[in-house]
Amino acid sequence: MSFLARLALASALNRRWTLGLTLAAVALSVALLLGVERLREGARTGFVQSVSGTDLIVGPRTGGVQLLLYSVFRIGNATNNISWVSAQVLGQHPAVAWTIPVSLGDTHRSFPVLGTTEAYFTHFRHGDQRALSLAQGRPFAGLFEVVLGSEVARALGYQLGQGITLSHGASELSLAAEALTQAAEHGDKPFTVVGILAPTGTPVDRTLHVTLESMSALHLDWQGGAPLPGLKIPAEFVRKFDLAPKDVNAVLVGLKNRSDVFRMQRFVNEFRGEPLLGILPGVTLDELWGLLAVAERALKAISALVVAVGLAGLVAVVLAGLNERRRELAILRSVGARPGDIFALLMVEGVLVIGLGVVLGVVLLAAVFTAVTPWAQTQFGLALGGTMGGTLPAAAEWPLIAAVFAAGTLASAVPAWRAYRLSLADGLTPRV
Amino acid sequence: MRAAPACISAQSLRYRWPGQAADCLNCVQMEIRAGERVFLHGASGAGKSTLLGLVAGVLVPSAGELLVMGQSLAALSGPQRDVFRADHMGILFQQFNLIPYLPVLDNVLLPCRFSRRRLSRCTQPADPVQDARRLLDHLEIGVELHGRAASQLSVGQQQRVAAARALIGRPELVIADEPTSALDAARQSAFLDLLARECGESGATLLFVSHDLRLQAHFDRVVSL
Amino acid sequence: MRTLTSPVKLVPWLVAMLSAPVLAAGAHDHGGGRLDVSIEKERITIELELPLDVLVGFERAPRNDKERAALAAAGKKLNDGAALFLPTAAAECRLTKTEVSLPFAEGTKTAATGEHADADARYEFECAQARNLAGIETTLFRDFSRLYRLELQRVGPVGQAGGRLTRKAPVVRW
Repeated sequence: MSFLARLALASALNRRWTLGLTLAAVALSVALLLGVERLREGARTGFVQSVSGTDLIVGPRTGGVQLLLYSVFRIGNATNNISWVSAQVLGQHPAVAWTIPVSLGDTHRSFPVLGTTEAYFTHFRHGDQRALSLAQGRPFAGLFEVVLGSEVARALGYQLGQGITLSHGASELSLAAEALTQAAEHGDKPFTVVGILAPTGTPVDRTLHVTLESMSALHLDWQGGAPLPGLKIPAEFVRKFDLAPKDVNAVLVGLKNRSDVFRMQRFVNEFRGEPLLGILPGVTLDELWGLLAVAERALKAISALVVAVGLAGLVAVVLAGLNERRRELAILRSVGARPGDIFALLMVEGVLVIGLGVVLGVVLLAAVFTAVTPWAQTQFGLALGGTMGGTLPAAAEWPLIAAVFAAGTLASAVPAWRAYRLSLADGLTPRV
Repeated sequence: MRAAPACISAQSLRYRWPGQAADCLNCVQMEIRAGERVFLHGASGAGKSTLLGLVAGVLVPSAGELLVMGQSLAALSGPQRDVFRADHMGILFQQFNLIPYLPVLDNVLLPCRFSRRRLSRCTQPADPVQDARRLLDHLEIGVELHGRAASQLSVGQQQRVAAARALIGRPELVIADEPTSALDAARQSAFLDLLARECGESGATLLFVSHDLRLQAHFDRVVSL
Repeated sequence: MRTLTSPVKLVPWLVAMLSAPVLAAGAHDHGGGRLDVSIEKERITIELELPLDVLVGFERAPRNDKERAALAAAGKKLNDGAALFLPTAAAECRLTKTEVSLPFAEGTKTAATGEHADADARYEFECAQARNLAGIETTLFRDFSRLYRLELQRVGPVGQAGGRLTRKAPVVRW
């Protein structure tokens, strides 16, 4: 190590408290900047993993993004339906390999309940084309049987064979609504847990799965979202009714031949029976990212500003300390240090703080994400994939890191230049 | 006896601080021979520090000629003057002479870091620490203090460490700007004796600046500004 | 107390807001068209849908010789698939099939649906070195100055993706 570097290090250690705080500010701002980028990448990978096997999603004519979000991610409300007849026509189309109907709207302790068919267990794919697997039990076979996602079972402590009740409508919104929700429980129709799925890192983990018939049975004596007064149909009589589903919220479609997807999409969009919308999940995800790009850019701008604030803090601290160090600089000049050496000394100090700050920021970020990833998984059922858990910066992060380093080096030049000017003006006798 | 060569020679030397109406130094004539121990006397504000700045090559004369060891400093570029100063001069200030966070030994060795000539003039260029320890020993700084941070030393000790630093690598000229002003009378005298002795031993010219005429007994000659 | 709505519950609202500008599928969009690209092994299939207005400036039967000539010129350009779409040269792709359906053109039986008319075209390429395929450039924007954007959907070995081609970015990349 060169003598100037050692001198700078000794000098910085001498002021370790003020510089330490500045270092912390730089580290935090770097962590934030990289974190925003990493979160975006992670969310993207997580979302893509959740829809990996589905070629087409068919639903009512709403927005494509809306259809994708509720049918795959259980985000938002499914306000419209498509008829069960249309869903069956789709399933019989020669290009179609399988269909999975999706019927939403009920919740259990704020976890969404999904009405579907056995096809869900055989055809749904996530991650790298992985099928669902049962950790315990079996798929549902009949009425009032429920298969739990892994997180549902874990969070609520449910076992195979346990009886549970499902509540109607979306999760509670306020205290008042909660009272209503309790009144509106399907308390008379207990479900039995027959299976628990292995973790997938997708919203499946947070879902309770029942048959479409169970879903219809739940709502036999309901109308317009509330129980019909005076009408109560006990569970044992439910089987006597026609429980064939009348409608579903969406249908996930897998094709025999992936390149038929555009032909199939056209078939859906020009469907004669009722207005339908067919979306390619991958395309709609890209559309979603496009829409979110504004918010993303705003976040990026904010985190860039935070970095600027951190660097400004560094400049301020070094500049403020400079006056006290004029004597030190004069001594160095008297023993032969050139003004260029003084400039270099201050630069080394600044670059040292920036470099350490970047390293600390990266370490901090890795620590935070290691801690947060399991939380995101339980809270949103999203395995934040990609670089999220990684400790080393991803390739895409290096340019950002380099940019921070360059900006920091440039910022360090301000106090260095000032010290240079001071040492020229002061010479051997600083006028403090 | 043949006169020794001139160490410092000033002819009609003038200096005016930028933005000032009057000259700070006005027509200074001065001749200091190599090996002389000179007491430069002047009242406060007489331009003593300015003259030192000129000799050290930190300031450039407004007019007139200044030769140090036969070299016109005005003819050198800024960086060349910095090298010249590091190579040929040891400098002592009134106080706060040391980098507070460096150990005593590293403070003494500073000139060897910036000047190759000073390093090569040590008795063992490969190991300048030997010279540093010897000088510290001569200046009565105990071995137990060598590794200590400079800020932990008393003012008197600090000035002696600074003297060791000014002397290491046997520079031709030692400039001292009231280095004893922070010391009491008994310590002033002892310090000056040490400084004069060490300059004599290494053959350095000593230019000592003070407003305190009582100190002149330690010097060969008094020059007044 | 649970008076604060959690961020998760704001999501539906956010979604509703974001969905607003999304055009319903199949909507007829002046100045824009749709481009679907699928890649399967050595074959690239390109399906193109353009409002007639983008091609010739009107969406009805031609009324004079000038309009008939414009329609014929547009048909000629659309039929030259090898000039309209340029896959990466190193992939050694060859146009093997072209199907163009242009409303109101001579020899075409047109049943105009509603007020709008779209031209549809389908092209197939076979690529000898499909692994070298890095992108497909289109010259549509140069040929049809009224065309401003193409909503892109593509499927291929790496999955599905969407995007938008514009005059400044007329290349499908993956």
